Amino acid sequence: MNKLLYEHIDKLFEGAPDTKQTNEIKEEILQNTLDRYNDLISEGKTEEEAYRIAVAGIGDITHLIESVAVPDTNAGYTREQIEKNRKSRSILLSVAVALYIMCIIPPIIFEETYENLGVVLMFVIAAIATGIIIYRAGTKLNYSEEAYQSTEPENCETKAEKSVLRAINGVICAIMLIVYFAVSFLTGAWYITWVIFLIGTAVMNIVKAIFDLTR
Amino acid sequence: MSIASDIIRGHTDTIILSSLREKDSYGYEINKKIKTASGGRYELNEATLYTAFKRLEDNGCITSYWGTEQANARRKYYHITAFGIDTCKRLHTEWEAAKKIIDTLICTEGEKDE
Repeated sequence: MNKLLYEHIDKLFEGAPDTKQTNEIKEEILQNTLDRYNDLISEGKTEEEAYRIAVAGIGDITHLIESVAVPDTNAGYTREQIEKNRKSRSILLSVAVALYIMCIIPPIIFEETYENLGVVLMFVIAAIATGIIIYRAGTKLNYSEEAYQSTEPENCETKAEKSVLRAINGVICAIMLIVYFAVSFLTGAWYITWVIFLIGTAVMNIVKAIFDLTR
Repeated sequence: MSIASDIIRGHTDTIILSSLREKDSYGYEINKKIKTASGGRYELNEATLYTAFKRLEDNGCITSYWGTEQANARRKYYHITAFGIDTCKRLHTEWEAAKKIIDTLICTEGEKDE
Protein backbone atom coordinates (compact mmCIF):
# COMPACT_ATOMS: atom_id res chain seq x y z
CA MET A 1 0.00 0.00 0.00
CA ASN A 2 2.94 2.30 0.71
CA LYS A 3 4.02 1.80 -2.86
CA LEU A 4 0.66 3.03 -4.07
CA LEU A 5 1.15 6.25 -2.11
CA TYR A 6 4.55 6.82 -3.73
CA GLU A 7 3.02 6.19 -7.13
CA HIS A 8 0.12 8.52 -6.44
CA ILE A 9 2.39 11.39 -5.44
CA ASP A 10 4.71 10.73 -8.37
CA LYS A 11 1.68 11.09 -10.61
CA LEU A 12 0.62 14.35 -8.94
CA PHE A 13 4.02 15.86 -9.68
CA GLU A 14 4.28 14.39 -13.16
CA GLY A 15 3.91 17.64 -15.08
CA ALA A 16 5.82 19.74 -12.54
CA PRO A 17 9.16 21.27 -13.54
CA ASP A 18 12.12 19.34 -12.18
CA THR A 19 13.49 21.99 -9.83
CA LYS A 20 14.92 21.86 -6.33
CA GLN A 21 11.85 23.62 -5.00
CA THR A 22 9.26 21.25 -6.46
CA ASN A 23 11.31 18.25 -5.43
CA GLU A 24 11.43 19.55 -1.87
CA ILE A 25 7.69 20.10 -1.77
CA LYS A 26 7.18 16.64 -3.18
CA GLU A 27 9.39 15.13 -0.51
CA GLU A 28 7.59 17.09 2.18
CA ILE A 29 4.13 16.09 1.01
CA LEU A 30 5.22 12.49 0.59
CA GLN A 31 6.60 12.33 4.12
CA ASN A 32 3.48 13.90 5.61
CA THR A 33 1.19 11.59 3.68
CA LEU A 34 3.21 8.60 4.86
CA ASP A 35 3.00 9.88 8.45
CA ARG A 36 -0.71 10.28 8.12
CA TYR A 37 -1.07 6.85 6.54
CA ASN A 38 0.92 5.20 9.32
CA ASP A 39 -1.12 7.00 11.96
CA LEU A 40 -4.35 5.84 10.37
CA ILE A 41 -3.09 2.25 10.29
CA SER A 42 -2.16 2.44 13.98
CA GLU A 43 -5.63 3.83 14.70
CA GLY A 44 -6.93 0.55 13.35
CA LYS A 45 -7.98 1.58 9.84
CA THR A 46 -7.61 -0.94 7.05
CA GLU A 47 -4.92 -0.35 4.45
CA GLU A 48 -7.50 0.62 1.82
CA GLU A 49 -9.21 3.08 4.12
CA ALA A 50 -5.92 4.58 5.25
CA TYR A 51 -4.77 4.98 1.65
CA ARG A 52 -8.04 6.61 0.64
CA ILE A 53 -8.02 9.08 3.56
CA ALA A 54 -4.34 9.90 3.16
CA VAL A 55 -4.72 10.57 -0.56
CA ALA A 56 -7.86 12.66 0.00
CA GLY A 57 -5.91 14.73 2.53
CA ILE A 58 -3.47 15.95 -0.10
CA GLY A 59 -6.02 18.09 -1.91
CA ASP A 60 -5.52 20.02 -5.11
CA ILE A 61 -1.84 20.87 -5.40
CA THR A 62 -1.86 22.23 -8.97
CA HIS A 63 -1.87 25.83 -7.70
CA LEU A 64 0.97 25.06 -5.33
CA ILE A 65 3.07 23.62 -8.14
CA GLU A 66 2.23 26.57 -10.39
CA SER A 67 3.15 29.08 -7.70
CA VAL A 68 6.62 27.64 -7.29
CA ALA A 69 7.04 27.14 -11.02
CA VAL A 70 6.48 30.80 -11.90
CA PRO A 71 9.53 32.39 -10.21
CA ASP A 72 11.60 29.77 -11.95
CA THR A 73 11.03 31.39 -15.32
CA ASN A 74 13.30 34.16 -14.02
CA ALA A 75 15.77 31.43 -13.07
CA GLY A 76 16.26 32.97 -9.65
CA TYR A 77 17.32 36.39 -10.85
CA THR A 78 16.00 39.42 -9.06
CA ARG A 79 14.20 42.14 -10.93
CA GLU A 80 17.14 44.52 -10.42
CA GLN A 81 19.59 42.04 -11.89
CA ILE A 82 17.41 41.53 -14.94
CA GLU A 83 16.86 45.26 -15.36
CA LYS A 84 20.60 45.94 -15.05
CA ASN A 85 21.41 43.17 -17.49
CA ARG A 86 18.93 44.48 -20.01
CA LYS A 87 20.30 48.02 -19.70
CA SER A 88 23.91 47.03 -20.20
CA ARG A 89 22.94 44.84 -23.14
CA SER A 90 21.12 47.67 -24.88
CA ILE A 91 24.10 49.96 -24.33
CA LEU A 92 26.44 47.38 -25.85
CA LEU A 93 24.20 47.04 -28.89
CA SER A 94 23.98 50.81 -29.34
CA VAL A 95 27.75 51.19 -29.13
CA ALA A 96 28.29 48.36 -31.61
CA VAL A 97 25.85 49.83 -34.13
CA ALA A 98 27.41 53.26 -33.70
CA LEU A 99 30.87 51.77 -34.35
CA TYR A 100 29.65 49.98 -37.48
CA ILE A 101 28.30 53.22 -38.85
CA MET A 102 31.38 55.23 -37.95
CA CYS A 103 33.86 52.72 -39.35
CA ILE A 104 33.38 54.31 -42.75
CA ILE A 105 34.76 57.62 -41.51
CA PRO A 106 38.53 56.81 -41.50
CA PRO A 107 38.65 55.77 -45.17
CA ILE A 108 36.90 59.01 -46.03
CA ILE A 109 39.19 61.15 -43.90
CA PHE A 110 42.37 59.48 -45.13
CA GLU A 111 41.19 59.08 -48.71
CA GLU A 112 43.72 61.56 -50.10
CA THR A 113 46.56 61.02 -47.65
CA TYR A 114 46.93 57.53 -46.15
CA GLU A 115 44.43 55.39 -47.99
CA ASN A 116 45.65 52.13 -46.48
CA LEU A 117 45.50 53.45 -42.94
CA GLY A 118 41.87 54.42 -43.49
CA VAL A 119 40.93 50.93 -44.59
CA VAL A 120 42.85 49.33 -41.75
CA LEU A 121 41.09 51.58 -39.24
CA MET A 122 37.74 50.72 -40.80
CA PHE A 123 38.33 47.01 -40.27
CA VAL A 124 39.66 47.56 -36.75
CA ILE A 125 36.51 49.47 -35.79
CA ALA A 126 34.30 46.84 -37.43
CA ALA A 127 36.17 44.12 -35.56
CA ILE A 128 35.63 45.90 -32.24
CA ALA A 129 31.93 46.27 -33.02
CA THR A 130 31.64 42.58 -33.89
CA GLY A 131 33.50 41.67 -30.73
CA ILE A 132 31.04 43.72 -28.68
CA ILE A 133 28.08 41.94 -30.30
CA ILE A 134 29.58 38.52 -29.62
CA TYR A 135 30.32 39.49 -26.01
CA ARG A 136 26.77 40.78 -25.68
CA ALA A 137 25.35 37.44 -26.80
CA GLY A 138 27.20 35.79 -23.93
CA THR A 139 25.87 38.17 -21.28
CA LYS A 140 22.21 37.25 -21.72
CA LEU A 141 20.77 36.02 -18.44
CA ASN A 142 18.71 32.90 -18.80
CA TYR A 143 15.27 34.18 -17.92
CA SER A 144 11.99 34.13 -19.76
CA GLU A 145 11.50 37.53 -21.33
CA GLU A 146 7.70 37.23 -21.53
CA ALA A 147 7.17 36.08 -17.97
CA TYR A 148 9.30 38.95 -16.78
CA GLN A 149 7.73 41.64 -18.91
CA SER A 150 4.16 40.67 -18.05
CA THR A 151 4.88 41.41 -14.40
CA GLU A 152 6.49 44.77 -15.09
CA PRO A 153 4.08 47.42 -16.27
CA GLU A 154 5.66 50.34 -18.06
CA ASN A 155 5.86 53.23 -15.65
CA CYS A 156 5.36 56.90 -16.39
CA GLU A 157 9.04 57.71 -16.03
CA THR A 158 10.17 55.44 -18.85
CA LYS A 159 7.28 56.65 -20.99
CA ALA A 160 8.36 60.25 -20.47
CA GLU A 161 11.97 59.36 -21.21
CA LYS A 162 10.93 57.62 -24.38
CA SER A 163 9.07 60.65 -25.66
CA VAL A 164 12.05 62.88 -24.82
CA LEU A 165 14.30 60.49 -26.74
CA ARG A 166 11.92 60.59 -29.69
CA ALA A 167 11.94 64.36 -29.65
CA ILE A 168 15.74 64.49 -29.58
CA ASN A 169 15.92 62.05 -32.48
CA GLY A 170 13.49 64.18 -34.42
CA VAL A 171 15.65 67.26 -33.88
CA ILE A 172 18.78 65.36 -34.93
CA CYS A 173 17.03 64.19 -38.10
CA ALA A 174 16.00 67.72 -38.99
CA ILE A 175 19.48 69.17 -38.30
CA MET A 176 21.00 66.34 -40.32
CA LEU A 177 18.87 67.23 -43.32
CA ILE A 178 19.59 70.96 -43.05
CA VAL A 179 23.33 70.40 -42.64
CA TYR A 180 23.32 67.97 -45.57
CA PHE A 181 21.75 70.39 -47.99
CA ALA A 182 23.65 73.41 -46.67
CA VAL A 183 27.04 71.71 -46.89
CA SER A 184 26.24 70.10 -50.23
CA PHE A 185 25.12 73.29 -51.87
CA LEU A 186 27.94 75.34 -50.39
CA THR A 187 30.74 72.93 -51.22
CA GLY A 188 29.21 71.12 -54.16
CA ALA A 189 30.78 67.95 -52.80
CA TRP A 190 27.65 65.81 -53.31
CA TYR A 191 29.74 62.66 -53.78
CA ILE A 192 30.76 62.65 -50.14
CA THR A 193 28.24 64.68 -48.13
CA TRP A 194 25.98 61.60 -47.65
CA VAL A 195 28.37 60.71 -44.83
CA ILE A 196 26.48 63.28 -42.77
CA PHE A 197 23.57 60.82 -42.56
CA LEU A 198 25.83 58.10 -41.19
CA ILE A 199 27.27 60.47 -38.62
CA GLY A 200 23.76 61.59 -37.67
CA THR A 201 22.64 58.00 -37.10
CA ALA A 202 25.71 57.39 -34.99
CA VAL A 203 24.89 60.45 -32.91
CA MET A 204 21.35 59.15 -32.38
CA ASN A 205 22.69 55.85 -31.14
CA ILE A 206 25.10 57.57 -28.80
CA VAL A 207 22.26 59.68 -27.40
CA LYS A 208 20.27 56.51 -26.78
CA ALA A 209 23.25 54.92 -25.04
CA ILE A 210 23.69 57.99 -22.81
CA PHE A 211 19.99 57.82 -21.97
CA ASP A 212 20.23 54.18 -20.99
CA LEU A 213 23.30 54.92 -18.90
CA THR A 214 21.76 57.75 -16.92
CA ARG A 215 18.54 55.85 -16.25
CA MET B 1 -19.64 22.46 9.66
CA SER B 2 -18.88 24.31 6.45
CA ILE B 3 -18.83 27.69 8.22
CA ALA B 4 -16.38 26.38 10.78
CA SER B 5 -14.05 24.84 8.21
CA ASP B 6 -14.19 28.02 6.13
CA ILE B 7 -13.24 30.07 9.16
CA ILE B 8 -10.42 27.69 10.01
CA ARG B 9 -9.13 27.79 6.45
CA GLY B 10 -9.31 31.59 6.49
CA HIS B 11 -7.02 31.63 9.51
CA THR B 12 -4.48 29.09 8.34
CA ASP B 13 -1.65 31.61 8.69
CA THR B 14 -2.59 32.54 12.26
CA ILE B 15 -2.96 28.90 13.25
CA ILE B 16 0.40 27.93 11.78
CA LEU B 17 2.18 30.91 13.34
CA SER B 18 0.62 30.30 16.76
CA SER B 19 1.66 26.68 16.61
CA LEU B 20 5.22 27.60 15.65
CA ARG B 21 5.44 30.07 18.53
CA GLU B 22 5.43 27.08 20.88
CA LYS B 23 8.13 25.17 19.03
CA ASP B 24 9.56 24.43 15.59
CA SER B 25 7.39 21.95 13.81
CA TYR B 26 6.64 20.24 10.49
CA GLY B 27 3.53 20.04 8.35
CA TYR B 28 1.94 16.86 9.58
CA GLU B 29 2.55 17.68 13.24
CA ILE B 30 0.78 21.03 12.89
CA ASN B 31 -2.07 19.39 11.04
CA LYS B 32 -2.38 16.72 13.71
CA LYS B 33 -2.58 19.43 16.35
CA ILE B 34 -5.49 21.03 14.49
CA LYS B 35 -7.15 17.66 14.23
CA THR B 36 -6.73 16.89 17.93
CA ALA B 37 -7.83 20.35 19.05
CA SER B 38 -10.97 20.12 16.93
CA GLY B 39 -11.81 16.67 18.22
CA GLY B 40 -10.97 15.05 14.90
CA ARG B 41 -13.42 17.16 12.92
CA TYR B 42 -11.11 19.45 11.02
CA GLU B 43 -7.90 19.02 9.15
CA LEU B 44 -6.15 21.12 6.55
CA ASN B 45 -5.23 19.39 3.36
CA GLU B 46 -1.61 19.34 2.24
CA ALA B 47 -2.26 21.84 -0.54
CA THR B 48 -3.68 24.48 1.81
CA LEU B 49 -0.94 23.83 4.35
CA TYR B 50 1.94 24.13 1.89
CA THR B 51 0.54 27.13 0.11
CA ALA B 52 0.46 28.80 3.52
CA PHE B 53 4.01 27.68 4.37
CA LYS B 54 5.27 29.04 1.11
CA ARG B 55 3.46 32.34 1.55
CA LEU B 56 4.72 32.76 5.11
CA GLU B 57 8.26 31.88 4.10
CA ASP B 58 8.16 34.31 1.16
CA ASN B 59 7.12 37.22 3.34
CA GLY B 60 9.66 36.41 6.02
CA CYS B 61 7.40 35.15 8.82
CA ILE B 62 8.98 31.72 8.97
CA THR B 63 12.16 29.96 7.90
CA SER B 64 12.64 26.28 7.16
CA TYR B 65 15.31 23.63 7.60
CA TRP B 66 15.53 19.91 7.03
CA GLY B 67 15.41 17.84 10.21
CA THR B 68 17.93 15.11 10.89
CA GLU B 69 16.02 12.78 13.20
CA GLN B 70 15.77 9.62 11.08
CA ALA B 71 17.54 8.49 7.97
CA ASN B 72 14.35 7.26 6.30
CA ALA B 73 12.12 10.16 7.24
CA ARG B 74 13.46 13.54 6.24
CA ARG B 75 11.15 16.23 7.56
CA LYS B 76 11.13 19.90 6.79
CA TYR B 77 10.83 21.93 9.96
CA TYR B 78 9.56 25.45 10.17
CA HIS B 79 10.78 28.12 12.53
CA ILE B 80 9.03 31.40 13.33
CA THR B 81 11.00 34.63 12.90
CA ALA B 82 10.73 37.78 15.01
CA PHE B 83 8.70 39.30 12.21
CA GLY B 84 6.50 36.19 12.24
CA ILE B 85 5.84 36.65 15.97
CA ASP B 86 4.81 40.28 15.36
CA THR B 87 2.56 39.19 12.50
CA CYS B 88 1.03 36.49 14.67
CA LYS B 89 0.23 39.02 17.42
CA ARG B 90 -1.29 41.39 14.89
CA LEU B 91 -3.42 38.63 13.32
CA HIS B 92 -4.54 37.59 16.77
CA THR B 93 -5.66 41.14 17.61
CA GLU B 94 -7.46 41.34 14.29
CA TRP B 95 -9.24 38.07 14.98
CA GLU B 96 -10.32 39.26 18.44
CA ALA B 97 -11.73 42.42 16.90
CA ALA B 98 -13.52 40.51 14.17
CA LYS B 99 -14.91 38.05 16.70
CA LYS B 100 -16.35 40.87 18.78
CA ILE B 101 -18.00 42.47 15.75
CA ILE B 102 -19.46 39.19 14.52
CA ASP B 103 -20.68 38.34 18.03
CA THR B 104 -22.46 41.68 18.25
CA LEU B 105 -23.97 41.33 14.80
CA ILE B 106 -25.17 37.79 15.28
CA CYS B 107 -26.27 38.00 18.94
CA THR B 108 -28.32 41.21 18.74
CA GLU B 109 -30.43 39.67 15.99
CA GLY B 110 -31.17 36.62 18.14
CA GLU B 111 -31.76 38.54 21.35
CA LYS B 112 -34.26 40.89 19.77
CA ASP B 113 -36.66 37.99 19.30
CA GLU B 114 -36.55 36.92 22.91
